[in-house]
Amino acid sequence: MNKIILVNPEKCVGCRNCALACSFKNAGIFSLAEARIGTIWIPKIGMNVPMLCQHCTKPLCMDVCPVGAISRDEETGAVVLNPDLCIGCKMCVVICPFGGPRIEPETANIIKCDLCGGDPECVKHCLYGALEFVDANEAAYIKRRAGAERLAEALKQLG
Amino acid sequence: MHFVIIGNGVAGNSAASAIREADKEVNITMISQEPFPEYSACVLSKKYISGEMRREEVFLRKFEDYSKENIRTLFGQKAKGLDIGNKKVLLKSGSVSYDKLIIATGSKPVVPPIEGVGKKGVFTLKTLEDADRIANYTGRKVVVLGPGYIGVEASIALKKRGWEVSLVGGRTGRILRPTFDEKPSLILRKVIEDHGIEVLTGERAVKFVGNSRIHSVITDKREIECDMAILVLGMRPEVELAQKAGVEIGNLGGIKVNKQMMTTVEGIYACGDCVQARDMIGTEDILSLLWHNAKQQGEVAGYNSAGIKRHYPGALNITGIDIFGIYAVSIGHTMDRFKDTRLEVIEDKDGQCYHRLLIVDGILVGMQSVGMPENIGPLISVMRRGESLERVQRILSQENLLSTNPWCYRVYPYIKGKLPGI
Repeated sequence: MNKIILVNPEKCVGCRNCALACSFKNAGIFSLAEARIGTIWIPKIGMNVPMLCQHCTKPLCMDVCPVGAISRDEETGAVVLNPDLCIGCKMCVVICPFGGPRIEPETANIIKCDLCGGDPECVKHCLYGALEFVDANEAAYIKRRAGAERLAEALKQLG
Repeated sequence: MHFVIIGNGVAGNSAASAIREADKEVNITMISQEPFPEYSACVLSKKYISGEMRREEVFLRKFEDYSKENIRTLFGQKAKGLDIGNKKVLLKSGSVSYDKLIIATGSKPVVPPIEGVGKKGVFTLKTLEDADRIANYTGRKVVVLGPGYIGVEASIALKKRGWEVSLVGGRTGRILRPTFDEKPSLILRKVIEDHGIEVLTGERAVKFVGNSRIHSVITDKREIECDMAILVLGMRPEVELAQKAGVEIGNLGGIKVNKQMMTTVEGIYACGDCVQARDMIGTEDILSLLWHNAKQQGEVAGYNSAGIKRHYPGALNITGIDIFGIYAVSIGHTMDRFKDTRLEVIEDKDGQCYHRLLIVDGILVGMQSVGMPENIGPLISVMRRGESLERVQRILSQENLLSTNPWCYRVYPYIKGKLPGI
């Protein structure tokens, strides 16, 4: 069974260890611009949210890529980008709701998470449990449960 | 069971993959007028004619990829006609029988009857062969006729290649009219002009002058000396084959299909640029002629033809264009479509960045952005689901909803200060 990175935003402190570890693993330097993962800070609720590729079951990025540069790695289940095929049209960046594919500012090249070939560096360096590498089924269950709670909450609010 | 697919573009290939996935055993035959394996039509006006991409990099498949998937190919052969009664595709010599037929004949460039349009040095830009002709042509000055998407991309690509470029046509002032409203259009026009491309709008070509090769284009306002002219005045669905056979054509000139991408003839499906498909936002059909829509339509057509029921959710315009490093995106419709509708516009400019959202009855129907491609994804999701902006507003303004939908926050830069409570 494939594993995916499960994000628990309420545990994220915004330290960006994940991004630095990712950058070092993938680009050999510590640079937030080189990271395949980022965090957004939402001041209204005082929350940091890690943003990274969700390796969707039906990836929109794969559908919009006009050169077939995005595919699924059969071994890890990760949605991966082949930089040799990518023409940098940025359609994947545009369509992804999660900020999965990212633009490397200096070169304008597209970079994206490939789960480090099945052993994601970001998860290893998250000290707070905001990122977990779990079985995809388990993640789906956790997400469904969170979704149900969210629905209940929303219904309560709507009265 | 024999499936025949006419067309070897993204729609045809995506249909073939879907059929093959549904059934490993059935016979699949692909017929294509062009002799090549599948290539990406999207790269031609970009990195191919600019010389940044080698020819072999344009191809998405090799001939052996088809045989690996057990797909018989009849490439370089034009389908001359359809005999619907006997379920046959007629070729130049002989015919191919089918049980299920998928028409994915794509689109063709608009070529108006301008005097001298057949002269050497006047090209269209649609196929790989067109692009090869342009890439291999020599000269100093090119006139690109049609400031739409392909026209702007081709102008930029040829400028990068060292050509002196004039981009001519369209209504006064505007470029990229099908995808950008006036304000963003003028911003983009300025970027193009600042990079040395001459933009002449509000005029059109009336004559191509030259003997063996053209040496100038005459418009209704002036004569422009040039070595090459590229006609990029838009694409139209290629429906001749379907129409002659009695398959119904819709009001926009595309093949009419239902939600399963089936035509008005049982067992014949159509997908890609040759169809008019339901609009994801509105209720009417649109011609979308875009890669991702063609791909999805091909998949839906393929699965349904193989007996696996799929619904097509509708076409959504999503286009992105890189104008000398300024990246502009347009989603959904422009104001032109809502002339008689009460339309609300939210817009903002921040330095070089600009964006606008078009809203009808509280529903997002279009968005255009210049210089900030990163956070558009969640807005596209809102549009795809047909959600009201009020819902987005509610999430962003209520702490507990926001903490359970934090991704929604990416929409914030587009609507901050524009809706109550945000």
